Amino acid sequence: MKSEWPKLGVGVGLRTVHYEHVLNHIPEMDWFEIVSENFMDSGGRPRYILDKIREHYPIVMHGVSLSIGSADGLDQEYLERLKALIDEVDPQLVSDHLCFSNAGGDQLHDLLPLPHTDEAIRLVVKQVKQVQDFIERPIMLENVSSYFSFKHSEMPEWEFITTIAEEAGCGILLDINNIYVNAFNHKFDPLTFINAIPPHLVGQFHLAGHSDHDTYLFDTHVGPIIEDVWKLYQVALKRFGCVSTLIEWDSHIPPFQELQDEANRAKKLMNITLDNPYDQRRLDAHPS
Amino acid sequence: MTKEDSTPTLRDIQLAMRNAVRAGEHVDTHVNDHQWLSQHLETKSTDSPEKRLEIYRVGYFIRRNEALSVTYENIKKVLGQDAFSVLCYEYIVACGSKTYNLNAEGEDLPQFLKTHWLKEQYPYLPDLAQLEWLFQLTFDAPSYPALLPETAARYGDFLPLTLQPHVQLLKTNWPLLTLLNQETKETPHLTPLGRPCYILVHRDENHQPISREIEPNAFYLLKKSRSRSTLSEVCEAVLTDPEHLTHWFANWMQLGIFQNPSH
Repeated sequence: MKSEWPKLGVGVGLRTVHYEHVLNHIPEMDWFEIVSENFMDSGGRPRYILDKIREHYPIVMHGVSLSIGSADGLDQEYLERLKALIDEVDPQLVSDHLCFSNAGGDQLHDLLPLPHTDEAIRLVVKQVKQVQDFIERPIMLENVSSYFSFKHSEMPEWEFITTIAEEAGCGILLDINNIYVNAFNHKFDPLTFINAIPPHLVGQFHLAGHSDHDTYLFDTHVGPIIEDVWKLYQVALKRFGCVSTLIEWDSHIPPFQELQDEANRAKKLMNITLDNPYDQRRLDAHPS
Repeated sequence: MTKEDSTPTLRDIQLAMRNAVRAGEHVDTHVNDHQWLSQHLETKSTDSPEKRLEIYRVGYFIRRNEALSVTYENIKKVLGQDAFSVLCYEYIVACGSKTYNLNAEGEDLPQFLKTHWLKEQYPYLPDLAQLEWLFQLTFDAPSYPALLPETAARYGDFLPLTLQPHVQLLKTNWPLLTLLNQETKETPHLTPLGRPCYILVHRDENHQPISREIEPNAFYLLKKSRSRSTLSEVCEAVLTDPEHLTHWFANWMQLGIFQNPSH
């Protein structure tokens, strides 16, 4: 369905601790990503802040509770609230995760991995089509980090996500840090993952920090992005081009300037790796 | 073929993972599910599948606990970190999470506290929890265009009164507002007021929840306004002197308590 996703440059996640700074200083930033659920059910201060921020920046919506792989099916009430927010915010991109987060009527508040089976592919493809039909937009699914695998998985993760994206007509939000984390946890070469993904499917990158727990890496979104993930990002830029990139930092969130520094590093890498496509993108957007 | 021998369905895997994630340390009813699930999991390390499942289980408790800590800041202050953690743990184990919205995580806590052992030492906890839950509702509720004095004048006695969704009311016998304003770090031992205290919760100009004590008749007037009665019906139901009424309504309109009826 999508081969041309908007090229937005580099953005950061909008977090409550930065609301005042962003509103008071309107810092230079290409775009902000919001967690959809933080605004779907709130008509108070969060929505007021979002409206103000939308006046200055493009917004991308990223969800954590769509539960696209849930065997229980999709939550229609959730979809209605999501669509209402999409219609109001008119985001540049809409995404969620390739996982499940509820089962048997219980919300688990996590991004739980799916077995890589044909059964899961059929279910997710059907549900992605339902979502896209309902919200009248394409979505992207993000590869999630995981800490175990299923013995009955029938294919590697890259084949699983590619098949779903191609059959459902959705995009892939490629989380570079999650590829790195899973490569360590499941002992595969991260380049194999990146090289297996068709470039036209990729609409966004995520970059984040993680924690080293010795026997496994934990996707905590804490701390700066590590050097190996930056290197992998450069590899991804070469393969996928000037893809919109998000810096995620969700625990022990630092002052906004620190996020800006990370975003600036990503912009610099875009320029170095792709011979100034970042500057070209800006010229395309604002021709003199 | 036994369940253990067959390829598990997606639904079976997800239900077993739900049970593994939700189970509390002292809940042993899910042990069989754990064992069944572990047979279908593998790790490329010396860590067992059970150890890796623990990552999700701990994350589940931490996320819900954090959400409760945000909503029930004052309950946490009264109980202290340790007792609050115990309360959260017991609540999380007893009550599954039915909503994706972590802000709504604590909806059942006021009810849960009514029969909780901590109530014996802190009999005001259910009311305090109810007040904090109302703060959460006030924070998240939508706002509609507010009733303006000129609109009210146009309708006269037939003005339909509807409260904004963010307006909440609570009647309690405990000095909760004093407790909220208390700076001390010591655990307060409250004594009942000996009279009901009527509390109005609404949003200030910065969209933050605030609370104030109001007079009993003012409380009943606002309560009656929930049923979209007209101004005259509300005033008839709560007999009070006109001077009070004029003052209250002017104040409430200034605070944006009512919705514009034409909305």
